[in-house]
Amino acid sequence: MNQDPEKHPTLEEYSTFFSFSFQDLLKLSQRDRGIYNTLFYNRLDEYNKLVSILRNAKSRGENILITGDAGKGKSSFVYKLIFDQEFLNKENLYCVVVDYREASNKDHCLMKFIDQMQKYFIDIKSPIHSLIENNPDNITKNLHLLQNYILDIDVNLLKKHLLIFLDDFDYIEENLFPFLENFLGFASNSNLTILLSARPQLYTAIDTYDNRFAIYFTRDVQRIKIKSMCAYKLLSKRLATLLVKDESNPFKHVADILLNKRNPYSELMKKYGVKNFEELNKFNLPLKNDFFNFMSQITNGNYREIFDIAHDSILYILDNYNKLETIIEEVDNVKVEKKVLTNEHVLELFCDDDSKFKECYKRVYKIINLHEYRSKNKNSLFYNTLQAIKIFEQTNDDFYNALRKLGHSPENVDKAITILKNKSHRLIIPNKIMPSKNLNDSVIYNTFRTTEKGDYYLTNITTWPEYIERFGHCGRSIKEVI
Amino acid sequence: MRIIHLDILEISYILLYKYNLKRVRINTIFNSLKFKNPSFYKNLSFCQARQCFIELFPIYKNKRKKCRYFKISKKTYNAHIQHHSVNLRPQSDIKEELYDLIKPPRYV
Repeated sequence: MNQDPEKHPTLEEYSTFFSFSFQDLLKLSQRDRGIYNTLFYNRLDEYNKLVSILRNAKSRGENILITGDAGKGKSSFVYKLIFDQEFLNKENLYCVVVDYREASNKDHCLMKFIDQMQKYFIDIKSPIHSLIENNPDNITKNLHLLQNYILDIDVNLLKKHLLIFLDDFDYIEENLFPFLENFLGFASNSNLTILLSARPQLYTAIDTYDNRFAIYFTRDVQRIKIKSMCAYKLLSKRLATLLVKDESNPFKHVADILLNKRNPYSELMKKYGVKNFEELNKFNLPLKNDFFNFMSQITNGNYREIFDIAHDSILYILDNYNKLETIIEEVDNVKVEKKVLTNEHVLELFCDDDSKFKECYKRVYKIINLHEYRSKNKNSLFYNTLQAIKIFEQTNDDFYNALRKLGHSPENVDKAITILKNKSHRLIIPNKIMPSKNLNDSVIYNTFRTTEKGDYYLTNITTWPEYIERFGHCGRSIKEVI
Repeated sequence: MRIIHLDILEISYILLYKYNLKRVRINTIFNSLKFKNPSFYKNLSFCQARQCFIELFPIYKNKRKKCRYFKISKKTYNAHIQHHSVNLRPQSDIKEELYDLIKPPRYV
């Protein structure tokens, strides 16, 4: 952010500002722990449950399982405990974090774990001397030595109860269970507690894989489910915090620049006399509950993605505020003007166009338009490529030959694959027909499909014939040329 | 079916299908259990391991007092898996160290 008082903030600067505010909470809190405490929202019930479980952890020796969908905030939730030094000291707890994503590979992850365990033993003043050099060849031996050491050590010497937090194990694509087996010996030990965070997919995989894994990690454990929250409130908390004029606000210098300058955002706020973002709700501006609920729906309630979308949405609304449709509604017998974000705007938000908005920064989200990029024969490039991925499963000569018959050159196909595999391109919808007035919301809901990776685009569209009926045909099917 | 039973079944699987053995000494089972999960089998006695083994393979000869080599069979193993609808991990996921440990001395 530019802090020069005379310079007018540009949309690029807004972009930086909002992207900063919507960053991952844990990334932000690496710089300053205060930011975490300020921005963490709710989860009081779950936290109280976790605290009560951990209070009895010493005597019971039970493991804990935290379940929730992707991007629901499982890691952030556990870090609330890890950052709570007062509680950890009071209850004599010591946290060891095994974060798979932070390590470069599995061996690195285990080596880091062994290092952390050594630190733990030094911390409780019972250092372990029997470990051999910590390198990839000795990992199994060292893990066995550690397990035996915890077993043989006098319980009174374990001054702090060990809590091992296994995080991001969902990202292990191959050989998950042999990796998880390294922690099985620890999980069965009653002198320590394993805290595993898992998505429903991982939970089911463990439950059906082997009975012993299931008993230690998913069945005989204390389970905490991370519930969904209102996306609007979550975002409000983020933005409201930014706008608080308080010395303790870690974002004060950024908020000052935005609010004290003559810019669309501050003008918007001044116009309505709004002091913080939460107050915007009562004016029924486009950033209202329905809009964010809609966002939740298209992202399957993944808050990480909602933050990405919110970033785009707010910038879009700021940029197009004057263009937004106005309706008049009566609230308590008083007519109130409301700005409404129509379905067309929602689409415009995600589709590529030549507006000024697009030039300012690279949008995080993009919609794949199947009616875009047609060959000379008017066959859709994306549609045919997706079909070919599904049929051939690999990019061999047959794959390219089939697509060449439909008029797509290999270079274009490669470009299309790159776009489709990009994780930020998640939604498929045509942008040509979307008459907002004649269309029910349900139609949009049915048409949007969230996908995880490029390869799964077609498989996730369950109502494919319905799609073509509504939005027109995408040209010839690849099945005609195979 | 308890966890120890599942572990013994897995060891029996390796002996039966990997090494084609039909007789085993309890010492092999005992050591393998201790190696697999030292914390869980910290207080496991030789006698307990023998008792659990006999529960799984209740053949008359196994129950005898002075039995040294205990019999295992694929039929009983499969019956347990089907009857109790047990989920055991695939053979490919079993660690190589366990194979080496279970391997009887004459195979080394």
